[in-house]
Amino acid sequence: MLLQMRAASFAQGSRVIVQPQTLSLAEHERLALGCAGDLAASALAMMASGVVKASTGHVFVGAFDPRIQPVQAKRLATLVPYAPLTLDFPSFERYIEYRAALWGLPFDESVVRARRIVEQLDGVHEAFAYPLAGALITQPRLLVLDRPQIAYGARIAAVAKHCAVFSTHASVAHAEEFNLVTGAHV
Amino acid sequence: MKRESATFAIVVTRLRRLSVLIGFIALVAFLFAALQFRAGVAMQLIGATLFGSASGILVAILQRGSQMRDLELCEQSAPLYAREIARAIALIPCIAASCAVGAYWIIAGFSPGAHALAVAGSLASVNAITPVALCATLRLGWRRWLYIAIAASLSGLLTAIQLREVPAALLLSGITGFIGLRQYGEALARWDPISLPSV
Repeated sequence: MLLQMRAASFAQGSRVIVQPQTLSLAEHERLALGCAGDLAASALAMMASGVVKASTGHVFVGAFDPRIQPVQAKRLATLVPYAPLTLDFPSFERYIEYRAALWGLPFDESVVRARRIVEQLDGVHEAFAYPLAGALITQPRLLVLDRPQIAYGARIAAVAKHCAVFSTHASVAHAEEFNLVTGAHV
Repeated sequence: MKRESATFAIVVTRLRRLSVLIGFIALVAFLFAALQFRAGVAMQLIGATLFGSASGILVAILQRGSQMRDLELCEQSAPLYAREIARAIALIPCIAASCAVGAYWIIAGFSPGAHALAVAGSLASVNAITPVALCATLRLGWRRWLYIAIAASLSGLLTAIQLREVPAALLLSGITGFIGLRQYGEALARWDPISLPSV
């Protein structure tokens, strides 16, 4: 299994943000999960990508527990955040250079790969296309999408065909809509 | 094949976003130094250290603002150890504070009685205080204010020590900076970016 959650929840103090979740996702599978709201969806996506540690229960990304081996977990899973890119970067190449440096990737190769991905994302606004391309240049085995735009679902599914995709949504209805356009499980 | 270090990328990207603010701080430092030109080296030392510390604290707090949110999520989702991210982020307020102090001494350095040790002392002090101020960015509520108060108090303490014993102030600055950076790295490793109110 590429992603496993066993009664994994996330809480801040006494406030439970993500109720206990049990799920599993194999290589190349797609799963769209409806959550109890925006904050829960965001927290769950961060848990699945190893950015946030589960308060209770267990999360495994591949064979790695992000609480113990966060760096190894983050090499397998890459998060695409909800918020669009602010486009404060002077150029697309500069943004990809920044992403490549964080992941320790060769710059030239990453730019070529990113340009190819952005070409495939025709019709997707730059502010959403660039973070997705930035995530995919790392060639993740698991792509985690925090509340992706449903309108871009088909394009996302097309460019992310070589990896498993886990997406979180603010409601079950949104997850079902996303499923309709991408063919993910709900 | 061109590769960049993660630290360099984080520092350059964040500094670019704060370049206008850092430029403004340097400009204010020039004016402040001009105002204190004939104030004597002791007052200049106090002015440089307190102004540099305030600049460092301000820029440290802005590291966790909404302006940096997209960078922060990107850095947190990258396969980097918290200590690497902590070191890179700590460099930004240190650079800003050093620019403030540097700009101050460019003008004040021409005044009679200016001393190289005063420049070194004020630079060391502001660079020690900023990692402490960074710890405030990972806390909420009264704990955040507590760290800001600690940083401000340390600024006053280091200034007072510099006026008597600059080598002692340099040593204390080194110890303070080291402990502050260690604590920031450890806090960053435990920190969940979801705790931001903007989420």
